[in-house]
Amino acid sequence: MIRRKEIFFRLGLVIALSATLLALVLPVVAIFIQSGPAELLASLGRPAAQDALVVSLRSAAICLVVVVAFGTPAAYLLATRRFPGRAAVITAVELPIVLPPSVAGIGLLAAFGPHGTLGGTLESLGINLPLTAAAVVIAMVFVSGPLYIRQAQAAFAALDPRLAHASSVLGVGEARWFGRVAVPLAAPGLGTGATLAFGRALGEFGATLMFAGSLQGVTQTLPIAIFEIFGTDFTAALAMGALLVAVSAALLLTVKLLGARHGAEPAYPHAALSLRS
Amino acid sequence: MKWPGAIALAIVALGISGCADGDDRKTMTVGAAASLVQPITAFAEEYEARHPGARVRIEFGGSDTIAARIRQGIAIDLYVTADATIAETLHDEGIVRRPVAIARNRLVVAARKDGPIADFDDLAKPGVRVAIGGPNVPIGAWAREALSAKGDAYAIQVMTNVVTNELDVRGVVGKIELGVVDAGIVYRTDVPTFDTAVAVLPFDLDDTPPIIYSAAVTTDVTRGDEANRFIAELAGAAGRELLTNAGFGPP
Repeated sequence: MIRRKEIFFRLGLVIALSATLLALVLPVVAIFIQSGPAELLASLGRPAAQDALVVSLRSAAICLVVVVAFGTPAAYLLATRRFPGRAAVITAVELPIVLPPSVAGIGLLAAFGPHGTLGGTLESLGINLPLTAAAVVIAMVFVSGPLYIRQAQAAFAALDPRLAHASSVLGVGEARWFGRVAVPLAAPGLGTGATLAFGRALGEFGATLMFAGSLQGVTQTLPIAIFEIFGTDFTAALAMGALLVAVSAALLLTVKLLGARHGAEPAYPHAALSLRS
Repeated sequence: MKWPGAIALAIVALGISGCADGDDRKTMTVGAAASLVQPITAFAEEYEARHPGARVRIEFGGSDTIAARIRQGIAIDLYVTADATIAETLHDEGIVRRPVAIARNRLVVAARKDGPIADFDDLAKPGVRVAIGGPNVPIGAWAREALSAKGDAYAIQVMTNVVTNELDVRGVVGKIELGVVDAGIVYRTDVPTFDTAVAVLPFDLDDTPPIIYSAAVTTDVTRGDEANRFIAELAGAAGRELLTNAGFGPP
């Protein structure tokens, strides 16, 4: 009986993985099956595709800098402090993850649009955000920031509290602890968060379209360019889709490889070294 | 199998069967262009009231999307399109019977009344912000054609003021209504007549080829008589009144 149960269990595992592959991998693989290498190269030659790729990569890079610069200390604070309303703050920060793109776009317009909450203030400062390159970055920050902060918070929370205690006994200030120990130790988690955030920023579509519009070379990102061409030229849309998949996959793989190398180093001696220097 | 597993399986099975459509042969299915939501919905209600027993289900969507569905064999009895050329193509392919023109739309500049644009010349002034459709979507292609009809120099001037190429006409209208742009080029019927914040400047009718809406019965129709009667009344006085109220002209 036990043997039979084991066989059924293993069979179940294989079926579950097959179903997972069918649902998650086939649509991605199909893009490459349907668009040959020749079409892929031809799509790279399209000025619209090149412009869109540049806009996407540039905006996502700026977005990542902003998210890491503000998200890392914010996540550290949320991970290490207990204060009234902390749960509410964390929920509010994570909420954009589950919001549909249309709501994100409406929200950004309601906040920063000409008739929006901050619209008057921005106008008096001579700042106009909607339909600008900055709007693309803002939309990306809104949707990708929570992914990074979530990961970073978990990474900081996972640090051994005895380490923090030991360093405070040794007279190491918190600022120094944060820069020399906490961030390096949490680096793998931060790296994962940054990758997820960058990938999400590259894939951002709906909120960008509503808040930043679509102008080639300025605000038209690769996902928007793909959707625009989809109606008239399915082959080109497929090829540009393949381009986006290739860029995203290369990115994920790079971080995975980097993470594997760092993960091999023992964490504690590294921390001790940082404290001494 | 343990109970939780059985229950989960039952839920999945129920869910899948629930997604599949009940094959109700008494209902006529109409696939109609999204820009017709208001007049066609009103017409279908009146139609059902006029003919007891008649049941009409309407699926709204992009004209090209509905055409693609019909080609894939999805059961639609009647096709109402915002682009008569698509209906002609389907007719040539033998997928629909001869299309009947039901209405005509026209292109307009929709401008915010609190903005800097009062006439067509303002559209070309430096610094104004204009939204149009992308070159690959119908509304964007029409807009480029209509601007060119007013002169190449004018068209180039206006195009430098374009700050966004939207993916559909709703995107253009939304950007105008939110005040993100000063004006945009849309169909006449996209600006609600009760909208007091937006002024409408119509293009001349000969600035673009006629933008004709047409209806056609599919060749593998299951409710053929019903579909023919629906088209006849839609193209007749009953439909004409509702279409006129929604801003459409006669074909």
